[in-house]
This record gives sequence, C-alpha cells and structure tokens, in this order.
Amino acid sequence: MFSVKYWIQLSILLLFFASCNQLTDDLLPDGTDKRMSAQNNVPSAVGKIAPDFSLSDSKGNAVSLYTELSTTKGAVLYFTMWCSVCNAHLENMTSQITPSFPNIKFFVVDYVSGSTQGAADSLAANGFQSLTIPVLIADAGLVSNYQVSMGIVVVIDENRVVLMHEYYEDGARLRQILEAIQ
Amino acid sequence: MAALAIGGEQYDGFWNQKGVYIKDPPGSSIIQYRMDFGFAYRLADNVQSSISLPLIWNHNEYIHTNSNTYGAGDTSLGFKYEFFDKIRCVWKVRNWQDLLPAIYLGADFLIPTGISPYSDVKSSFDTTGLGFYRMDAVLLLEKTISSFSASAQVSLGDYLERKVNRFLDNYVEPYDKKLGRRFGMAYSIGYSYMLESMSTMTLILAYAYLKEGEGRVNNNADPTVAFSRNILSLGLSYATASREIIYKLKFNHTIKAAGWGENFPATDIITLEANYVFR
Repeated sequence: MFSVKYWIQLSILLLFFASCNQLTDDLLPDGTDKRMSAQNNVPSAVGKIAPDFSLSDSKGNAVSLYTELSTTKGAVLYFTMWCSVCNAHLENMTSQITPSFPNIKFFVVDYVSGSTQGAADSLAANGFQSLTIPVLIADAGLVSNYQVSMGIVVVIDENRVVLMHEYYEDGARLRQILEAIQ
Repeated sequence: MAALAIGGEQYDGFWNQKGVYIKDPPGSSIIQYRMDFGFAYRLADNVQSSISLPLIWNHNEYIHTNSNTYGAGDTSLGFKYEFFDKIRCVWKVRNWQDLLPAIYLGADFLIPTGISPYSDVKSSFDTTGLGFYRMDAVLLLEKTISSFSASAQVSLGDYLERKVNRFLDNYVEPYDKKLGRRFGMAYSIGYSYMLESMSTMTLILAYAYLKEGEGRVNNNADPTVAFSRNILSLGLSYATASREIIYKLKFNHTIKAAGWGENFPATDIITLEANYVFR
C-alpha cells in the first residue's frame, strides 16, 4: 500500500522544505534554558540594573522609572503593539493579575504609536478607554534598551533589578515573580 | 493528482476576546501570499493520501512596524478512507440508494515545517507556521444529484504538547505548551453547468466555522489562545471535458462585525488553483 517510491518522494519534498529555514526549532523543540547566554548583551536582561527612562503617558504626564520605583515594591512593563494577542494579554493581566498586587506599579508600553495622541487613539480603537494602568509612549532609547517585541513583560523590583524579561504567555510566571516581591 | 495554488490573504482588523471587531490602524497593510504545492495519491482502492507544501511571503505595514519575510509554511499530510465502492454522483434519483452520500473518514496531520513564534522572528506577523504538531479526524459527506451538489464536513483536532524556550526572539524560562482542542465544520452547496465543449463550470457557496479552546501552559489553562471564526466562501471551478485539468478560483470572506469571530484576525483570501490529474 505504501510503496517505497512514494515515501522517497515524500522525504525529498520534506528535506527540500527543511533546508528553507530554521526548521528544527519546531520539528524537534528544545527545552533548554538559554536566557542567560542569550541576554548577556541586553541592558535590561534578568539580574541587571534596569536602565532608567523618562517618558510621557497617553494623558501627557511625565513618568520616570526610578521615581516610580522609589514609592513601590516594583514595576511591571507590558509592551504592546495593539494586536489581537497583545489585547488578549492586556485583558488577562488587568482582570487576573493587576488587582492582586496593589503595591506594584503596572505600565503598558506602546512602542508603535509614537505620540500621545497616537497612543490615545490606539487605546480608544481597541476598547481600552477605561484602562486604569498608565500607557507610556516608548522612545528609541527604551526600544533599544529593553529589546522590545510584542507581548514582552518586564518586572523590576524596588532595587531596580530586572527579575523577568520574557513573553507574557498566560500570566502564571508573572504572578509567581510578583508574589515573591510584593 | 498534482495541484498548484497561489493566493493572497489580506488581514483587515481582528476580533478581540469578547467578539468585538477592532479595525487595524489607518495605513496598515498586512498581506500573506501563499504558493501551495499539493499532491494526491491513491494508496489503495478506497484510500487516498495527500500532501500540501506551502511557501509563504509576509508583507506587513502596521503603524510604524514594517517587515517582509518568507519561508516554508506548515506541511499537511492527509489520509482519507472512502466508505463506498460505486460513484455516488447520480443524474436522476431512481431509488433510495441513489440518495446515499459519499462518506469519507480521514486523518490530517499538521507538521510544523513553518517559521513559528517559537523561533527567530520579531513579531507574530512574520510567522509562517504554528509551531505545533496536530492531528485532525475528519468526516466528510458529499452528494451530487443532477447539476446540484452539497457537502458537509466536521473535524476534531488535537495538538501535541511541546517544549518552549523562546518566543518572538526572546528566550524564556522553559515551559510546556499545548494549543486548545480544535473543532471545525463546513457546509457547501454547488451548481454545475455543462458547457458545449463538455467542459464543466461549477459555482460553489460555502460556510465554515472553526473554534479552538483554551490552551495549556505547564498544564494550567491558558485562555489567551482560544479563538473562533466564521468564513463565507464563493468558488468557481472549471474542469476540462477530459477532467484532467481543473482550475479553481475561490474567495473566502469574513464578516467584519461583532459576533463573527473571537480573538482572531479578520481576513479575506483569494486563491487561484490548477489541478492536473494523472491517469
């Protein structure tokens, strides 16, 4: 039923596609922890002192990281580009995580809108007008220092040390880190 | 049979988790172009097999983020068992047996040969694959009477759990992840018109529903990946008199309004396909 010729043709086709890109990332997933070696050159890597920033939020207020850290147990930065995945994370974080940690300062960082008005428009367009978390407008320095991409969450403790710098996923890891510092 | 399909998928906003449709920002342009190489082979009298190998180009302009990426997509392998020996297409109903549909039971396998978010990509717009193995059980019923045809299909799929140590170019604390169980159903009706040359033109209207449940992260529920969507399709196919070559033009449309999807991009897809049957 399954002739040798059939399987040879199939194998050749798969090998052709396998040569196109980093195929084995998904065919043979790797569970090794590579964070330390990969983040060595990232200024905001886990264990390093978080670079300070001073940014405007969507209401025009100035926000400084180090100033905020002086009055709280820690800060959470969630990076959004207002896509469906980011919005799902934001819904999850504001309903499941934020209320449990009143001593932690949460910020949403908009790294695509580029202006106060743009961020305000994005908030409204995505149905987050009543969001109580400040939305910061990222500048080039922040994007570079924090190796920004969609859905990344960064946790910084009151001593300015980065405790987490990774994808939000289901929020369980974020909760675990925050429970340790609150 | 060999098939070559080219198509474009235009992303136009998305539904959030509450089913509210959100428009993309002004000036956004997200298009995925696909070229699918398909092959089907009869393994036995009642068993068909098929494989689909896509190549994908992504073109993205989203607010201030621009990118162009390309690569292989996820490979699909399919096997289908036919629960009938005689052709179930009838020109006229003469007895109750003429009403019996063609029944197929199949298994489809998704192999993650594409570029997933768990590899070296900057955003989900640049991906060409899901990154998970999946198996779908498929039940398909087809019936053609005279010039009219109809089909109904239900499918149930499950992903294999995988290890993750990287997401969108950021290494993460390793964890186990599994996407949610997938349920799909699709219906179509068609009308065929025989041309003077004995070639056939067929018009098909179709509706499809797809839903995926909550995923699992380290065996805890992950509601952020659950989604659903509804798709309407209009297709036109042309088969030569010998039925050796079949051309298909298909347009998939999603209704960009509340309630037509949840936590999923709204897209329109146009596909042109050519099939050649080896005899």
